[in-house]
Amino acid sequence: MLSRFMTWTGLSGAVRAIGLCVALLAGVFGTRLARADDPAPTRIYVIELNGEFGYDISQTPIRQAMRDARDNNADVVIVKIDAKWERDEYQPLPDNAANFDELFRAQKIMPIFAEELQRDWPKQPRVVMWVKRAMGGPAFIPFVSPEIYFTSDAKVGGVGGIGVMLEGKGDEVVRQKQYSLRMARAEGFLIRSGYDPKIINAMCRPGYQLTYRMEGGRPVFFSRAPERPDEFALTSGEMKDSMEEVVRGTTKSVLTLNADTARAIGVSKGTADTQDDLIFQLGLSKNSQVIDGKSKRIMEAWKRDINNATRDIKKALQDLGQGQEGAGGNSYEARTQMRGKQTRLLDDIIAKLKRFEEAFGPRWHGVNQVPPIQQFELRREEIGLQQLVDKK
Amino acid sequence: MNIAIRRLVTGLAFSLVLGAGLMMPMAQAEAAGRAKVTLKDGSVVEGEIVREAEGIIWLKVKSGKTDETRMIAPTEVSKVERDVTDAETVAKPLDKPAEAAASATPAPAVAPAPTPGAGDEPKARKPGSGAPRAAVLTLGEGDGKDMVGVYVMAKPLHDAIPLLKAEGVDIVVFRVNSGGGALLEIQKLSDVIYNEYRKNFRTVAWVDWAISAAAMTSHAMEEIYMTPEGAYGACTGWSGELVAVKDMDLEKILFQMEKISTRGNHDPKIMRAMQIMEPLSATVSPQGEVTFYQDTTSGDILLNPKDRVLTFNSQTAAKVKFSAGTAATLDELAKAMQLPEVEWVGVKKPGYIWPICKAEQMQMDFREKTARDEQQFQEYVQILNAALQMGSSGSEETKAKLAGKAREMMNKIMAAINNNPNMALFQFNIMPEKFREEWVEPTEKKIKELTKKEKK
Repeated sequence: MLSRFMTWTGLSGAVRAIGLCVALLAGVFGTRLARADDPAPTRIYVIELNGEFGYDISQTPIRQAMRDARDNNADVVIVKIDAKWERDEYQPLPDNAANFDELFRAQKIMPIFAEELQRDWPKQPRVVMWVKRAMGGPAFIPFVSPEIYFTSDAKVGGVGGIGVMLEGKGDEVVRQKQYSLRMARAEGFLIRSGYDPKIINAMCRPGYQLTYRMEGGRPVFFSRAPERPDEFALTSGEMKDSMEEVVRGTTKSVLTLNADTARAIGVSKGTADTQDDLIFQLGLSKNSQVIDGKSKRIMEAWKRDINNATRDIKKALQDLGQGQEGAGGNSYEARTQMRGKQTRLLDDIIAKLKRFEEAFGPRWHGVNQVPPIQQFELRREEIGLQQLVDKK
Repeated sequence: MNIAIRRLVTGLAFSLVLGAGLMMPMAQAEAAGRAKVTLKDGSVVEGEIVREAEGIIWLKVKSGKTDETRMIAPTEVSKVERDVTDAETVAKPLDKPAEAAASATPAPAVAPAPTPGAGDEPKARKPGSGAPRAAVLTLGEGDGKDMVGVYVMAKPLHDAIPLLKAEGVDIVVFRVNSGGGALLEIQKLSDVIYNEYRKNFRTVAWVDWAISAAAMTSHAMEEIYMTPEGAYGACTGWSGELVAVKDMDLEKILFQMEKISTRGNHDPKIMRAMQIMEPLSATVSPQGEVTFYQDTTSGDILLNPKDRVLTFNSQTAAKVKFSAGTAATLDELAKAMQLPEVEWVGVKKPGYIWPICKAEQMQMDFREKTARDEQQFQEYVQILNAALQMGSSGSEETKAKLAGKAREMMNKIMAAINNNPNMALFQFNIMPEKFREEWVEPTEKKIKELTKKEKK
């Protein structure tokens, strides 16, 4: 409306007067006219998921960000995924490295973009997944949406291992049970959004051969090797990749989706390297508005809080150790005081471990050499008992 | 002195379920004599009756030069003609599988598939529009509150029935979200679903995640719907370090599930492929009849390759009509259930896509209490252990204080187990009926020893 009004003001006096009247009328019936003639811009909310999956990328901040999107009346939520895929800060993992069981971690996050939308949003937003790197657990997340876009250097995969991950453990029939239930869950995620579940089989199961050809502009999949010139193999059907393939990033024992492959088989709707480009491809460039939401702050606050909690826990552990060294105090009062201090430290550790339980998985405990919470609880109880039986 | 917390659950749990299996109230007749069974597809099977249970007939038939035993489900049977000279009491030919079931299985547990709404007690008058009233009950809710035998139990389901009746419920939808659990609870759950729920309500399963014991539990229901991401199967029994149930124990659980398959009117080959590495294929006739084959080649649709264990996803389940439909929401479910009108009973609560009826609130409260007990249980055991350990030395006064603390914790543990007896199994690896003998008495003895020394 504003642009139209400004055009009118540039006209001659009489016309300008009429224009003003129209503008005033428009003010009176503003809402109605605005809807009829000039729809409100589509409100776009952007959430960026980057860092370590399960630690930086976790359900609590994502849920908070989605609530903020809802409170900001977002019509479209763009979720950009760029998760770390490395053994440590110096060693990136190859494409065929596998971490299938992060599926169960992803499972905690995916409902935020599915059931919780149905449940908590008055009007369902359009959720667009925009992927740069989604290897391991994050690979499952984009499939929660029927709209996935890739960056030109994107990779989605790292979930091979079905059929081999439990090798050497227990009986074959139990291993098969474990593989079967995992695959069914992963297939379900794809089915929900309308993708062919064979794709996830190719991504997860070494030795599974997947071929496709285009029919009527749509890919048709076959669980076998190519049989015609217009058919293309997505996986090799081999159980393992050669060192040469690993080094060159051309592994094919399991499927790793890149921008071209994903586009070809209909997983990706398009390739976009910038937000503007993505918004253009979504058909929203003419009338949209990117909301200045809190998602970035929410994600940063989460990372800061868990890092602070990690530091505080390690410090408390150190203090606890020092306290124990001087545990043989001479007086009852000194011993009581020392136990009080230790109990407070333990309470603090336990509270932080509980608060950030979702991010403090086995790997975190291992890396930071923090024992499981039960040990702290036990220690606290022991101190209570020591105090109970101590004498002045 | 230390009383270790052990969670070697499934081994004992399995033993327990097998025990329960032997004591199942399901009637089995060691039948004899010859029979001629006409199947619905028109074919006739003739042979010696080896056994009968719940309408299932096991016939020893000639197969080449050898004999083989064939199991025939009631759903396959059109007519049974028996050798009257062998058994006068079962002389009357039975025309319907339901009649066969009723005849072969006189106990209440084996009644023919109950008619919905044919309950013993009159239901409360329905409020509202007169549309059928449906309630959602959850079997597990994920996030650690889903284990069959701990969070999914027969008793709270049984206790919920009066509440459902009081709310005038006609249809019970079991929303399944469980990754499995203890086999010991399956028969009890199957019994309560089959004998109590299906007798009183139209009872359906709406499956999101029914794995292992959860699928085996759901199998007593005939009408199954899936969520789009739903999964159902992977029912292999195991314990410890992925060690499979084998030999006689395996045969027993396979047999148990054959019978439960009959309750749900499911072809037993399906469950078999979910339990062991048996292939499964199926053909859907133009008339919509589905025939299952325990191989990879006879059917048009390969459901389970050899050397694999079957888990259905929503697509495969629908394709072979194992599921009656796929639904993500209550509206979609009502549509799939062909309910043009339905009144969902309960109050809307944040965080749930279905209203919470009183019976469901009861399940939620039960799970909450169990979770709390489970969490505190660890603390009780830890304090008890620490008290016993510290009491091994020290003055008499110290020992007396510690004995008091240990007793306090023991009482709390006993109260938790009294509330949920299966916790004995899951926390101590002790069968509930042996808990007193194997845990309480030795613990009491240890506590008394502390005080005894004090008197010396």
